Amino acid sequence: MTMTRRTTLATALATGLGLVLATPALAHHGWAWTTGGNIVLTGIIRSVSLGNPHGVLEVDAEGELWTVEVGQPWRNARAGLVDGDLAEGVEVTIEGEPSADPDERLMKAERITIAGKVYELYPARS
Amino acid sequence: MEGLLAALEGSGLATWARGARWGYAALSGAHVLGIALLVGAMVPLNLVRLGLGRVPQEPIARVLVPAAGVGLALAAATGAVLFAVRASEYAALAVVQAKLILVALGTASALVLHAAYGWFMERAGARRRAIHAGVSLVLWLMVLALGRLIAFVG
Ligand code: HEM
Repeated sequence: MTMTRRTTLATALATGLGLVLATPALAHHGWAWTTGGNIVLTGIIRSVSLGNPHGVLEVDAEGELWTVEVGQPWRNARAGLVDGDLAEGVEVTIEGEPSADPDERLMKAERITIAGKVYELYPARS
Repeated sequence: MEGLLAALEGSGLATWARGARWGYAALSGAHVLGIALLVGAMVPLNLVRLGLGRVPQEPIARVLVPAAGVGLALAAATGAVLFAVRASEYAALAVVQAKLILVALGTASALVLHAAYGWFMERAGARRRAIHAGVSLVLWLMVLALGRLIAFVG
C-alpha cells in the first residue's frame, strides 16, 4: 500500500512528462510504462461489466486484449463518469498500475481519458 | 451450472448489491461480523478443548457454541449474496471453490457431531472432543484465510 502510494505519487508528479514519453511507444504497442512505474494503455473497449466489488473492462489495445479493473459504482460516479461513458466500442486511454507480470495483461485504472476528458478515480492521490 | 450462476447474477438481490454503495458496504461488513463471531468463538473454544487454561468446558461451550452458530449463519447468508453479485467469476476461482467445500464440510460435520454428542458435545469423551477441536480449529482458520485471499487472486 505504502509502496503503491509512493509509486502513484511519483507517477502523478511525472504524469505530464510520462504521457509525452509514452506517446511514441504507444503507436507500436498499445501501452507503455510511465516514468512512475504505472502504464498508459490506449484501446477500444470490447466488454464492460460494472458494479461491486469493482468494474471490469476488456480493452483491445492494438490487438492485445487487456483486462482493466475500474472503480466500484460510487468511485466511477465521483470521477464524473456517467452511464454510457464506459461502453463497448469507446476509445479509452487508461493510466494505472499493471499486474506484476505485464504478460498477464491486467491493470488497475487510476485515471481514465475519454475524448480528451480526464476522469480521476483516485483524486486524493493526484 | 452456467445457467444457475447466470440466474444468481440476474436475481434482484444480486443486481441491487452490485450497484449499491452503502448497501454493499453493509453487506460485506455483516459478512465480517459473521466471521468474527464464528472464528472468535471457535478459536478459544477449541483451545479450551485442547486443554488450554484447564477450565470447565461446559459453561464456556454454552456461550461460544451459540455464538459460532449465529456467526456461521450470518456469514453464510451474507456470503451467498456477495457470491451472487459475481457468481460466474467467483465460481471459476480455485480459492472460492476450496473455501466453499471447506465451509460445507465444516457445517456438515458440526451438524453431525452435535446430533450425535449434544449441542455442547457433552456426550463425547475428552479425547474425542480434543480431536474434533483440533480439526475444527484448522478448518475454520483455513476458511478465513481462503476468504481473505479472494480479493487478491480475482
Ligand atoms: C456459504 C458461505 C460463504 C460464502 C458463499 C462466502 C462468500 C464470500 C464472498 C463472495 C466474498 C467476497 C470476496 C471478494 O470479492 O473480496 C467473501 C469474503 C470473505 N469471506 Fe466469505 N463466504 C462464506 C462464508 C465464510 C466464512 C464461514 C468465513 C470465515 C470463517 C469467510 C471468510 C471470508 C473473508 C475473511 C472474506 C474477506 C472479507 C473482506 O475482505 O471484506 N466466509 N466471502
